[in-house]
Amino acid sequence: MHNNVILMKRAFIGPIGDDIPSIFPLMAGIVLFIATIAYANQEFATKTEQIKLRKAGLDLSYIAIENGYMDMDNFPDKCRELLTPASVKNGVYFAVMLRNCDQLALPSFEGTVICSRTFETAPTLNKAFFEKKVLSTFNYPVATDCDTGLGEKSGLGTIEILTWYK
Amino acid sequence: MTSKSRSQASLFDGISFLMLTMVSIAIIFVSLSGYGNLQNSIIDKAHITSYLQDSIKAMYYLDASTLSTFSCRDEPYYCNQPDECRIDSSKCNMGCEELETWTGISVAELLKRDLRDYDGTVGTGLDDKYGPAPAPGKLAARCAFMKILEPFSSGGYTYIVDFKKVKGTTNQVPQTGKWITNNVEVTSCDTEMGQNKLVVNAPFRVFVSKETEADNYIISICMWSTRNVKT
Repeated sequence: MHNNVILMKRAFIGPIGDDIPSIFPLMAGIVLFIATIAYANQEFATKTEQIKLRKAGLDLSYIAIENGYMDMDNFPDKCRELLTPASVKNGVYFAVMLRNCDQLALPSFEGTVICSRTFETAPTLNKAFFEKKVLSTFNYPVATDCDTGLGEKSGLGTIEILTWYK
Repeated sequence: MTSKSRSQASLFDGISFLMLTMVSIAIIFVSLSGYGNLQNSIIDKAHITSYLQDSIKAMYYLDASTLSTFSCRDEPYYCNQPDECRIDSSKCNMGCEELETWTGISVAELLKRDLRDYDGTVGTGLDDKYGPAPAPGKLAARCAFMKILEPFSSGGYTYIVDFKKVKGTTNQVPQTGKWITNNVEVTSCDTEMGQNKLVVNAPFRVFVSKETEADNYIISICMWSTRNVKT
C-alpha cells in the first residue's frame, strides 16, 4: 500500500505537466486548422469575385450584341446610356473592342476600343494595359461596316468585351 | 499509472486531435477545389449559347459578297471534294469565291431566297422557294458559319446548322449535297447526342408573296464537344 502511494505520487507531475507531451500536436493542429480556414476563406472570396466579374462580362455582352450588328452611328449612345450604367451597377470597369473584316486575324487585346470605362483617367487601352489586369473576356461575331475597296459593306467582324476590377 | 504511460496517453490524445484536424482540412480543400466549377460551367455555356444566337443575328446583316475571300484552309471536311483535297491541297476548294457577285444581299436573305443546294435539282433537298433561279444561300451559310465558328472548330467542337419546317408537325427539311457542318458524318441536330450538346433554335420565316402566308421554318445550330472534356 505504501509503495503504491509512492508510485502514484511519482507519476503525478501536475494538471498541466501531465499533458505537456500532447501540447505540441494540439498546438500544431490548431495552427494548421486556423491557417486553412483563413486560406480557404481567401480562396472562396477570390473565386466568388472572379465569378461575379464573369457574370458582369456576360451582362455587358448581352447589351453590346443586342442585334448582331455594330451600328457605329448609334453605338456611342448605347455605350453612354446602357453599357456604362450596367458596368457601374456591377462594380466593374470595361472595354468593348471591335475588330472589323481587316482585323480579324489580330491577336488578343488588339483592335479598336469603341466603348470603355476605366478607373485611370484617359489611359491608353492597349495590350500592355490589359495584361496588368485580371480580366474576364468574351468574344462574339458581329456584322460591321467594312471598307472592301468597292465601297462600304457589312462584313464579318468580332467584338471582345473585357471586364476587370480597378 | 506510471508517468511514462500517462505521457503516452496524452500524446495519443494530441495525435488523435491532429488526425481529426487533418481530416477537417482535407474536407475543406475538397469543397474548395469544387467551388465555382459549376458556376463557371454555366457561364461558359451561357457564353456559347449567346455566341450561337449572335451568329444567327449576324446572318441578317452580313453581306454575302464579303464572304468571298474565305477559304477552307486545306481542311477536307469543308471542301467540295474532300478526298481530292486530302491528296492534293491545291484542290481544296470550298467555293466561297462564287459569292463575290452577290453584293447588297445578306446571308439570311440569300438562304430564304433559295434554301436548295446551289447546283441541286429542283424539288430535291431544301425547297426552292423562288423557282429554279439558283441562289447560293447554303454556300453562303457554309462559308459564314465556317468562319464564325472557327474558334470552336479549332477547340474540338462539332457543329451543324439544320432547318426544320413547321407545318402542323415539325420535320427536318431534307437536304442533299454538302451540309452546313464541320463534320461530314453529321446529318441532323436531333440524332447527334454528343456530350453537353447545345442547341439554339431561331424562327426563320420565308415570305413567298404578299398574298400567301409565310412558311415557318426553324433554323437550329447544334454544337457539342467531340473531345472528352467538360465545358
